[in-house]
Amino acid sequence: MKTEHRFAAPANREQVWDLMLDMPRVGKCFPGVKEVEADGDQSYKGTMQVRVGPVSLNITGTMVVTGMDKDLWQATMRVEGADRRLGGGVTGDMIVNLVDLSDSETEVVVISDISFMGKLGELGQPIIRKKADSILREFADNISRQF
Amino acid sequence: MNTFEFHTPASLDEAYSLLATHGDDANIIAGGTGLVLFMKQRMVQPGHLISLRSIPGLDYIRVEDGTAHIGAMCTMHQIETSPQLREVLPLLGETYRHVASVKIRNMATIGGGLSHGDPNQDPPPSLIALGASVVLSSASGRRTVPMDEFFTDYFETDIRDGEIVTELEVPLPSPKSGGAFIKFLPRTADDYATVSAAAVVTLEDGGKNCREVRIALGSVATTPIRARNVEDALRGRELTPSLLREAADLVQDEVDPLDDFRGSSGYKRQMAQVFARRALEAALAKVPAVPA
Repeated sequence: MKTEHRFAAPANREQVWDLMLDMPRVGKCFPGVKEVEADGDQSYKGTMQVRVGPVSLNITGTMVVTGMDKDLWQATMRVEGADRRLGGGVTGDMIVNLVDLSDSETEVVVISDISFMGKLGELGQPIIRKKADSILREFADNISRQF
Repeated sequence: MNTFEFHTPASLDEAYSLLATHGDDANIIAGGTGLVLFMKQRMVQPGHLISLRSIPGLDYIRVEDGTAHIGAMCTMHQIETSPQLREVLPLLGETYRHVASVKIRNMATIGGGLSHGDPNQDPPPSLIALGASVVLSSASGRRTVPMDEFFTDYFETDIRDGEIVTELEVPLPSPKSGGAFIKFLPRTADDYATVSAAAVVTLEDGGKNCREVRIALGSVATTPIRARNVEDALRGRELTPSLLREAADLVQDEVDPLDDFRGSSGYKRQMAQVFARRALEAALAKVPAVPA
C-alpha cells in the first residue's frame, strides 16, 4: 500500500534533520512504539503495539536506515516486523524528505510503500489507510512537541 | 480457534477481579455472536473468556422518571418484543427487529452489540438519534457516556480497562415527536446495511416548526456518526420537503465511508444523502397530529 503524508514541523530544516538522526527518539514519536534500540550500524530493533479494528498486534521488528543524503535532505529506510502470536506483519520502504518552508518551519514528507500480511492484510486496504492516516497525524503532533 | 479458559463469574465484582487479573489476555463475552466470529477468524485470540451469562440481574427493562433503563444482558429479541418498550419507545423495537436474523437476535445482547463497536450495526444510529447513553461499570464505580461519544474508531469504543457495559439509558421522547430507522439492503435481508439512517424529530407544541431533531447514520464512516450540521439546518424551522432535501444533502460533509464490497465510498456518500432525507421524512410522518 502506497501512502504519502505531509506535515509541518515548527523548526528549521537543520534542527529537523538532527532530530531524524536520533532514531530512538523519532521512533518513540510513533504512537504505540514501546522501545527502540540500536542493533548494529544504522539498524534498530523495537516493538510497537497497534490496534486496527478488532485486531490488536504486538509487532517486533527491525528498521534499517538504507540511505541518508543531506544534500537532498532525504532519508530512506526499510522496516520489517511481525506478530508471532496472531500471525501478521508488515514490510516496507519509507522515504522521508524535508522541505524548507521558512526559517522556523519545515515540511516533512513521508512516502511509504508498505505490505501488510496475515491478519492485518485481511482487514483490507481502506481501513488500514485510515489507521495509517491517524498514526501519522499523531506522529506529526509528537514530532512538533520535540522542538 | 485457539485454546482458552472459560470463566463464569457469578457477580460483577468477580468479573472485575478476573478482568484485573488477566488484563489484555481476557475478553468479556455475552451472547458471543460477534466475538466468536472473530475468534474463528483468528482475529482475536484471548487466553481467557469471561462470560456474563451467570451473573443474575443484568437483563431488566425498567421505565421510570422519563427514562428507560435496559440491562446490558437483555437480548435483542427481548427489546424487539417488549410490550413495555413498544408503548414508550417504538423506535427501539423497530430498529432491533432489523438486526441480522431471529436466531442471532435470540443470542446477541444489547451490551455485547455496543461493546463490539462495529460501525455497520443497526442499533447505534437509532440510539444516537434517541439521545441514549451507555453505563460503564467497573470496580471503581460507574460512569455514563452519551451514545454519540461512545464509538471512537473502527471497532473501538470508549470502554476503558476494567470496565463492562452494564446498562443502556434511553430518555423517553416527547409526545410531539416521531422517530424512524431505515436501512439500505441491496443484497440480502440479513446483511449489514450498505447505509443506514435514523432520525427523531420533535415539533413545537401547537406549531409546525421543528423544536429538536437528531439524525445519525451507520456504515458511512469508521464509527456510527451524528449529522450535526443537518440538525442545525433544521432546528427552529418549518420542515418542508424542500428544506429536508436541502438539509439532508449536507450529510455528505459529515460522512467518510469505507470502500468495500457493499459499495464504493462515493456511492455510499450519495446513498447517505438519500437515506438521511428518507429517515427525516419518515420520522416527521410519525409525529402524532394531536399529542396523546
